[in-house]
Amino acid sequence: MSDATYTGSDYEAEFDDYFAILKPRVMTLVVFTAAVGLIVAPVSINPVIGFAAILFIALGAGASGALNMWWDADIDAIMRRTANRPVPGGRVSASNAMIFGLWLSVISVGMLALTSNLFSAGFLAFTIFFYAVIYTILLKRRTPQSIVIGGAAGAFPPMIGWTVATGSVSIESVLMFAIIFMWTPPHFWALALFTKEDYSNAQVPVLTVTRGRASTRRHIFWYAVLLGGVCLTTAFTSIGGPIFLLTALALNGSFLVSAYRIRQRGDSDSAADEHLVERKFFKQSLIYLFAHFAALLGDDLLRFFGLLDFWPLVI
Amino acid sequence: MTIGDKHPQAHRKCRSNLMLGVVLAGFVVVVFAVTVAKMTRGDSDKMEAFDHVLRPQFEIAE
Repeated sequence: MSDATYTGSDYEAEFDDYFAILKPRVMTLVVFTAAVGLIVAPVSINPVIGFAAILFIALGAGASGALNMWWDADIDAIMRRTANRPVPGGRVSASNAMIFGLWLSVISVGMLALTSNLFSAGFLAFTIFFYAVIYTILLKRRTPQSIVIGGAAGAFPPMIGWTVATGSVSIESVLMFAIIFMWTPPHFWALALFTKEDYSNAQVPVLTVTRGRASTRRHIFWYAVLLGGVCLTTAFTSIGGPIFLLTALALNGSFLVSAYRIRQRGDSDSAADEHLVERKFFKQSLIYLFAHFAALLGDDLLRFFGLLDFWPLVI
Repeated sequence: MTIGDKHPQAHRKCRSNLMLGVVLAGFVVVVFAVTVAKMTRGDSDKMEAFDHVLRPQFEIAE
């Protein structure tokens, strides 16, 4: 008997395709920063409730990722970096991505309301709305400042983590928001500097396309300066401490040096070494954010053991 | 490929179904754990208001 072989051309989406739609790498950042926001908050909560809350915040982030992939399928297909995503790759239909994203939004917000409090759930709903509608649908194709404004969506998770524990917003949670908010533009613009063709081909108005690469380099430097100020302020609040201060001094110093090198370079230098400095800056920025939030955890541990009573508080 | 062998696509489908099952089971476990956590910290007072359980303290003394 001859072998039975499947010859159908219809691809049926698999679990991995739907998982990829959630943008798992972004979810990792969300889980980590939201968890830090929850842990460093002055109110302790049941660990099971905390774990579930982080899980549903991550699910909400995944939902907004799915909605983003639904709306951006056409431009994702043009850009090399995103062409193989499940929707442009033809593995999941755009409408399925939308339905998936909407249902996950409802489930994540509803479950966060049941798990923690209504304020956190409302905040998560607003974050999903901000990323999917304000950033993806309204701003991304219209203004190069979309990355600055849209960056807020990625900066909300530690604030949501904080509200899960405390039920409110405070200056400390706003500063955690500010760190990610100020970090996002230089992080993204460094990427745009070495993937310029992608965005111009897709006609997405990023700064490198609309204002030019020299202007983008200047923007990266000045955002790095402001970011340093935010981090140093955070060090002298009730969530900061010596570990955070030392981390901020070391990493912001190095970040500023790299940003200055980017600012001083011309396009010819950059092309000659295949954007080596910009690529390094991009990788450095990932470590930068992770280390700052890890440092907050370190100081929280010191505070837990009563070792930070001497620490001066500016705010 | 012989008749007894599974087609690679069937393997993938089986894996997808298994993963979905794990996720759904995980969801049930999380909801159960959250319920237990809320009950043990004293939130059961609030829950009684919705589950038609007679609460003696609400009865009017004769």
